[in-house]
Amino acid sequence: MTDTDLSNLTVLIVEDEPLIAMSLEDALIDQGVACLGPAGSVSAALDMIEAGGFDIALLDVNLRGERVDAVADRLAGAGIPFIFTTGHGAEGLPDAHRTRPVIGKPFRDIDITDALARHRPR
Amino acid sequence: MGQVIDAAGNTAGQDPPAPCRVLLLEDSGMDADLVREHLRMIDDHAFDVHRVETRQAFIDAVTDGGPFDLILSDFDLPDFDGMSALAIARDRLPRVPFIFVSGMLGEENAIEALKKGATDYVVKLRMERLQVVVRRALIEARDRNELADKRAALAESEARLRFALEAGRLGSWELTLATNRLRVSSICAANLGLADPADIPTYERLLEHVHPDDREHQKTMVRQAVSSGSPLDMEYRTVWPDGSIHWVQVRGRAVYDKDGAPIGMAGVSLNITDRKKAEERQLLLLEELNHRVKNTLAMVQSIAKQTLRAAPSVEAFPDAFQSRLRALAQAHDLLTRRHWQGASLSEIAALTLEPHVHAGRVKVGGPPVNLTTGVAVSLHLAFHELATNAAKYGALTAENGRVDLDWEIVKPEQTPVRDGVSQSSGQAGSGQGGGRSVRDGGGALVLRWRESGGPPVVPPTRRGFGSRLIERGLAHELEGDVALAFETAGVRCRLVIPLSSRVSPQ
Repeated sequence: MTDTDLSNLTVLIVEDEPLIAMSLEDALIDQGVACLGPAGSVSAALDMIEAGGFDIALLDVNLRGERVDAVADRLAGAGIPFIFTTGHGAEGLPDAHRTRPVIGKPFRDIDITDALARHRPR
Repeated sequence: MGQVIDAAGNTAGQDPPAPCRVLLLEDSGMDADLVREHLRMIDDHAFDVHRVETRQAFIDAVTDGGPFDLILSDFDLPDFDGMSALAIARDRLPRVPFIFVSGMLGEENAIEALKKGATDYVVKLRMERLQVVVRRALIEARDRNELADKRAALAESEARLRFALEAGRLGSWELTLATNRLRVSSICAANLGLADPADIPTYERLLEHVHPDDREHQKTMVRQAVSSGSPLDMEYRTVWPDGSIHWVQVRGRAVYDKDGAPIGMAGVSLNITDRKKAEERQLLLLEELNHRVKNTLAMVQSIAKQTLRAAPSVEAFPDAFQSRLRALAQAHDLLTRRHWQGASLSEIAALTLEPHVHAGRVKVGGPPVNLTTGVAVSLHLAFHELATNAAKYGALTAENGRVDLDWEIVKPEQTPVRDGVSQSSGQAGSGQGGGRSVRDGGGALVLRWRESGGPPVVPPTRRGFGSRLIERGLAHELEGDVALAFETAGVRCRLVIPLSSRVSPQ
């Protein structure tokens, strides 16, 4: 992708596995993307959405055994775009958000940066 | 084809009928001979006559003798009477025809005898009737016995079927199409949560117990089986009176009249709820396995990327990467032994440090603490990084160097802020975060790693994988405070982790 435009972008990372969150941060920071989080639980994610300050979110579908439906609902309600990251298939997605973009784990850095460029708010 | 001769000299295939065994109760020898004479005249039967003269001999013969195909009895005997003999015979040998052969038998006696179960009677003055009477009695008895045998076989077969149905928890059912009348067994009713088969007398009443979402399907399948003649085999959900949902499998086949018109349907039903639950559990397990494998692959990917990033040279990569993979595998082994229900902090510490503890180089101690699987893996990886660093550069490289790992549970107001080392907080980075803070929770686990006796520590110029994992990853994961200090006297690390369902004292 040549038109990968990630300038002036701040991403909220919602991910309960620290190793994966760190790897995501590395990939994004290398591209000049600012990162918030990671939020490792539903309540932490909701608090960070409340505080705001980001353009788009990467959202793991399951945080410590808890589904992230409430987080997705809140983001959708606030009009903030988000991309699911999941080790499950599409059937693991919250019902109300099945049309959202999904990136399967394990992912390549380029899958993340491409998706962010495509779905970031214009 | 040659004839087969058996040991008794009989020709197989055209044996004469086996002799008819006759019990003759007759006190007069002359009369007995007369009876024998007349029996001999029956040309298509041979007779084997066993004669008794007294009450006791008759009773013995009826009880232990025989078996007999026919009983012939005098009516008047010196110590016995014919009616008593009849009563005994009906009681003991109800299927053997009983014929009175008597000099005198009044009409009243004759009627009484027939009422009490005698097959027939012959008066000695008209002894020629004996042939006809005996032949007819034998034929009738044979027919009657065949019928009784068939009934008994049918009853036995039904009992066997019922046993098999019950043993297999199979219910049986029959549907009459013209009336939609349904007859079900008690197991069939029980499969729908009903105690009484009479609760579902019609197909419509059955449908009321089928889950609403499965009703149309049920009707369609039954209709198809009737119209096509193919077997019915389907599963549906049933809602029991208590509201619980169960699974039933029905198998059956339509029954047709001789013109080929369907008249009914019959089959079996089986409660397959347990099987369905097992299938669902298996699906969940597969889904969970898939999730776990993908997650583990993503972790391995992260470890690879970050190890590569931090490796001082490409040559240093394989060793560092493999050692971290091994640590991850160790954690999985332990968690599998604990059925993925978590692990204790001391188990996790022992996983990495046991060899050093045995060598007297490391001391580990603290109260029992339970960790969930995610926390256990993260702490294990952190201990692995600390121990690897200590063995490569720190206290474990020196002969007198040692490591102390200890932990305690502290109350909220006692949360320590000593040690004076800079802290990374779980909420760092964003400066705002969710979750519990150490200070507003119900106490904390304080865990200390202290190295001493090693060479003077030179702080690293940049943070490696281990430092990042501990300071960033672990602090976030545990929503706690992490302080990692490369002090000259030895590396120190302090974790303050708020107690929660994920980190709890035993």
